[in-house]
Formats: sequence, structure tokens, C-alpha cells
Amino acid sequence: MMAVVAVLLFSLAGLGCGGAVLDLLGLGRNRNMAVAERLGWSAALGLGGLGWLLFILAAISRLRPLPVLLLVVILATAGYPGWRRSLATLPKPANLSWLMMALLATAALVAVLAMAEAVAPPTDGDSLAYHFALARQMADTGALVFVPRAIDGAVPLLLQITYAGVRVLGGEMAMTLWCTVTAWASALLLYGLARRWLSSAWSLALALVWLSIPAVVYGANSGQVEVRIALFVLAGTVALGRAMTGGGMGWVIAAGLAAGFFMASKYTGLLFAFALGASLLLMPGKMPLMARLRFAVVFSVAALVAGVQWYGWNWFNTGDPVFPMLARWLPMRDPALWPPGFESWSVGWTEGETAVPRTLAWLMAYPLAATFAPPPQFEAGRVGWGPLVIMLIPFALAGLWHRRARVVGHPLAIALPMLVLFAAIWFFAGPSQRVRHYVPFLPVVLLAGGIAAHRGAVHFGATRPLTAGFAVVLVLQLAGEAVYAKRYVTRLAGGQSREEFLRRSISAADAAAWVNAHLGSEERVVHEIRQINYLLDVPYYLFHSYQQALIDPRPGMLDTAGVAAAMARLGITHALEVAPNSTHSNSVMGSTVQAMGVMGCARVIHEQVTPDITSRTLDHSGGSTLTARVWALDTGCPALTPRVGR
Amino acid sequence: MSVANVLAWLWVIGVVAGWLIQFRPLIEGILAP
Repeated sequence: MMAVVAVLLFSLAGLGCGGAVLDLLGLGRNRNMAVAERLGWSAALGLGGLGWLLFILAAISRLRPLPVLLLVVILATAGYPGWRRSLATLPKPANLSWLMMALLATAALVAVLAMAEAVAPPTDGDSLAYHFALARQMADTGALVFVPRAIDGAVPLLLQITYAGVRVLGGEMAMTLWCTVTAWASALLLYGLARRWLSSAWSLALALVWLSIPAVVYGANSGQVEVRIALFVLAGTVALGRAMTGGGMGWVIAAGLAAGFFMASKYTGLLFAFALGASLLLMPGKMPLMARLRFAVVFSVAALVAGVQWYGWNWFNTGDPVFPMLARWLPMRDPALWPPGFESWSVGWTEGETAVPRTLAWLMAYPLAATFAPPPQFEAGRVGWGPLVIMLIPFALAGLWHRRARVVGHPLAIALPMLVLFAAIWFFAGPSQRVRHYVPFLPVVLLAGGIAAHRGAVHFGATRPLTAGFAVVLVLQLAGEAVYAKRYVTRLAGGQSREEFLRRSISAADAAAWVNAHLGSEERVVHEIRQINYLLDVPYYLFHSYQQALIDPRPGMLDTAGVAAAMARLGITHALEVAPNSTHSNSVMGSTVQAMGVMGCARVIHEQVTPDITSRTLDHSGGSTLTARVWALDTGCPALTPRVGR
Repeated sequence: MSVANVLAWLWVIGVVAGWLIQFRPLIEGILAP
């Protein structure tokens, strides 16, 4: 119950905060803005604003129930005048067509499935490794935490701090519910914006296709940020487009804030801000250069104000605002965080993230490959972006051709250079080819592509195939969502306990439960199974092979005594080793604890068999198992002492 | 039916079929008794 109340309060606070920002910028009084659109804009600006304010609370160690409650009540109240005005203009319900009723019924079905997923304990690997694990740490300590790990520790955490805030008020379920609600907010903004150009049925269909895209289904109820970031991409792009087509400075500021919120949520936000800002300068049109430059300055300042917090936090803790990308050139607070030469080792993590050569031909072919025949590195099969994006292309091209005289002056035209710039930079310079990194951009593609496709289909008399295509895609994607939701519905129907659900979903979850039951807050366990971070109640250290350097994982860098000394400096007292069926791990950590065992400096205090979960959705482990061992370490053991610190 | 209409139908059917085919093993696995 507290979870629902907390999420309601956070939703009202986000909408209130965003509504107040809209009014402050002079945008909310626009009579042409329908309630759905206003809600969408408020959600985008409010989600970012909420995270921005929660950062301040956490920075002064006040991420506690009372201050958080006060903040959300104040924010919810701040938006009240705007809401009263807006709700007064709410149109009376009209008679709904059968199509609208069918779409609304579909939306209700999707909502039921989403709620079944939202009230379950989190099981997604990335969420357990850091999104929710870091949020849990911040909620538990009431303060900002710094984890000196590249890629998933020392990164911008604007969205994760909202997870922490809602968790402070409503616990774990509030966190997962909040993720689902904020994912749905992106559909609301998509619907609200689409209504400017399309009928309610087409707009709702677009929003439903977005919500049922496999990558969105997979990401919505998890802590992964991409689905939520879609709000910022959509808001930033459309706001700047509106500013450039006569909207004025208020929209420029809104666009800058949205770009800044993306920057504060993920490093790729820096690329988005650049791509959007550059598009402002590059877009053809009648706008004079001086006016563009003025817009660019205001856009950049707003983006910096909204987005700079986490880069400052990184710099404060490491000396590198984009840790560890500039570590080679900037003076580090502690050189052990990222020693010279470590970057050439750490790129090893990208080996599993790229599949195709970085050539212009592959950049062009990427959407086709990602849709029809994705290599595993794309992570696009069961969690891809569905077929609609490709399906829209010829219809949209027809629409663009038909309206070619008016395309440049359209508020959505800026989306094209922004998308091309972002995709090109990320494809050629980014470390990963996973489709996930493009997911935040899909609503912009669906919005602009959907409108153009509709115009094209109408002009060339091909609305039936387009409508049928939408319907088939929706049905197929919903079937996929039903498969995904099955285990969540089963959990609810069968009354499965949290522990049982986690055990069936996460490898080594029961080993983490043993650690929680037998070790205390004075002890610290080192492990290599990233997805149990969130499950551990006791202090822990993730011995990552590429993304952390405090225990140097490079082969040949440290001997057993050296690794033991590094573990001693981190206060590590125990190790959790997980290896395939009855074997030992041959990782640096596994080899070290085994060697320490031989030297009499470590002993196994617990051993158990744990299922090796290969697919959560399909609910099977393939029958294979893992062996988990908990070692008690004596890092000050005499056999190690002569060589410690050498 | 115009040429544009026929081409549009073929395109829609082709895209859906092309997308679905990658899930054949998965669908067979789900439908298997």
C-alpha cells in the first residue's frame, strides 16, 4: 500500500514540477496545448526536475522519508494552478468509435500485464547489478554514493536517484512501480504530441506500438534507463523544433533542460545534446545565423544547468568528470582508481558488444540487420525494436515527397539531422552496437515517421495496408508481451514468495541469501556475479574483470599476496566464488582464493549447488547448475605477510 | 487496386514475415507440447 501511495505522490510531484516549469517558461498557458500533451510535457520536465532536486537532497545526506515527503508535497502543490486551468479546458467525452474502443481495451490489457510485471521483485541483470543496486545504496544511506567502477558505477544517475527517492518512501515495490509509470509517461508524451498532427486513434496506436516494442517491454519495469530517457529525447527534439518554427525562447530552454536531463541520465546524453545543438545550427531554413547562435547559447546553458550535477560528482570523487574517459589526461584524486595503461585492458569488455565493421555501408544497413537478422551482440532478437520502424519507411518517404515543399519548416524536421548525427557518431565512435542505445530515439522516429507515413498513405491511397500493418505489428508485439508477462502472472496467481521468485530467476540468488543470513555489516564480501549486488544486505565489492582497478584484474599484475593486499585495503573479509558444476573458478579472484586456501589463508565455510538461469522469460535453467562457495579470508595471514604490499 | 496499394501490401507482408522468421525456434519451443 505504501508503495502505491509513494508512486502516486511521486507522479503528482513530477507532474507538478514539470507543470510549474512549463508555466515559468510561458509554455503552459498555450491554449492549443491539450491536456494529454500538457501531461506529457510535464512528465518529461518533471521527471528530470525531480531527479535534479533529489540529487541536492542526497548531496546533503537528507534522502530520508521526511525531507523526501516534504519535497514531493511541495512539488505536487506547485503545479496546482496550472492543473486547475488545464483541467477546466478538458473536452467533454465524445462518442468513441469502435476502433478507439478497441485500442483503449488493448491499452487496458497492456496496463494489466505491465502492472503484473511492475509489482514483482526486480530480476533484470543490469538493474540488479547497478540501476537498482545503486538506488538501494543511496536509499539505505540517505546520501549520494560513489562506486569507483567504469560504465555502471561512476556514471550519471539522475533516474536512479528518483528510484532511490521513491524507495525511501515506499520500498522495493515502489521502485519497480515507478519505473513502469515513468515508462508509460513516455507513451503519454508520444500520444499528446502525435495528437497535434494525427487522429486520436492513430496517436493511440503509435503509443501502444511503442509500449509493446520488445525492447520497451523488457526495459519498462526494469531499472534500465533507455525507455525513460525517451521522454527527454522526444521533449528536447520537439521543443527545439518548435522554437525554430516560431515558438520562441521558452521552447529553447525546455529543449536545453531535456537535453541536460538526458546528459544527467547516461553518458550518451552528451552526444544527444551535441547532435541536437548542432542540428539547430545546421538545419536549412530562413532563421538568421545570429538568432541561431543566440538559441544555441541559451540551449547550452539550460543543458548545463540541468545536466552538470553528476559530472561534478564524478570529478569530485575521481578528478575525471566523465570517469574514466579522461583519466589519461587529468590529474586523478587516487591513481589506483584507473592506473596508467588500464584503459587498453578495460576495452576488453567491448569485445562482446560489436559485431559488424564500422563502415558507412554497415551504418546504413544497421536498422535492417537489427530488425531482420541481428547478430547476438546487437541484443536485438527477443528484445529488439520490432518491425514497425522499417515498415514505415516507404510510406514515410512517400509522405515526405508529397509534402516536400513544407518539410523544412516543420517542427519535427530537426529530428532528421539529430538522428543522423547521433547514429553516425555512436556507430563510428561508440563502444557498443546494442540496439538498446538507440531505444530512446524510437519515439521520435515513430512520431515523425508515423506522421509522414500517414500523409503518404493517404495521398497514395494506401491507408489500408498501413492500418493492417499497424494492427499486425501490435498483435504480434502484444503476443510477445504476453509471453514475457507469463511468469509474472504465474507468480501472482500462485502466490510465489519473493525468495522463490528470485531463486527461479537469478543465478546464485540463494547463495546471496545464505550470505545475508550468515554474514554481518562488519564484514565485506567480494564476488564476481554482478546480478547479486542488489540482493546483498551486507557490504560487498564487485570484482569486475574490466571496469574496476582497485583490485587489479590484469593477468600477471598481482600475485596472490598482491590481490590479498588489495582486498585487505578494501576491507574484504569473505569471497563468494561461483563456478560451473563442482569446478573452481579460474578467474583472478577464484585463483586467488584457491591459492590462499592452499596457503592456509582462506577456508570454505559454505558450499551449495545453485541453478544456472539461462532465460528468465522462458523460465528454464537448461538443467545446468553452478557451485557457490563462500570463503572466509584471512588477508593478514602470516603466509601472505612477507609479500603484502610488494 | 492501384499499383501503390499492391506494393504497399507486399511490403507490409514482407516486413512482418521477415521479422517473424527469426523467432521460429522460439515460437516452436513455446508451441511444443
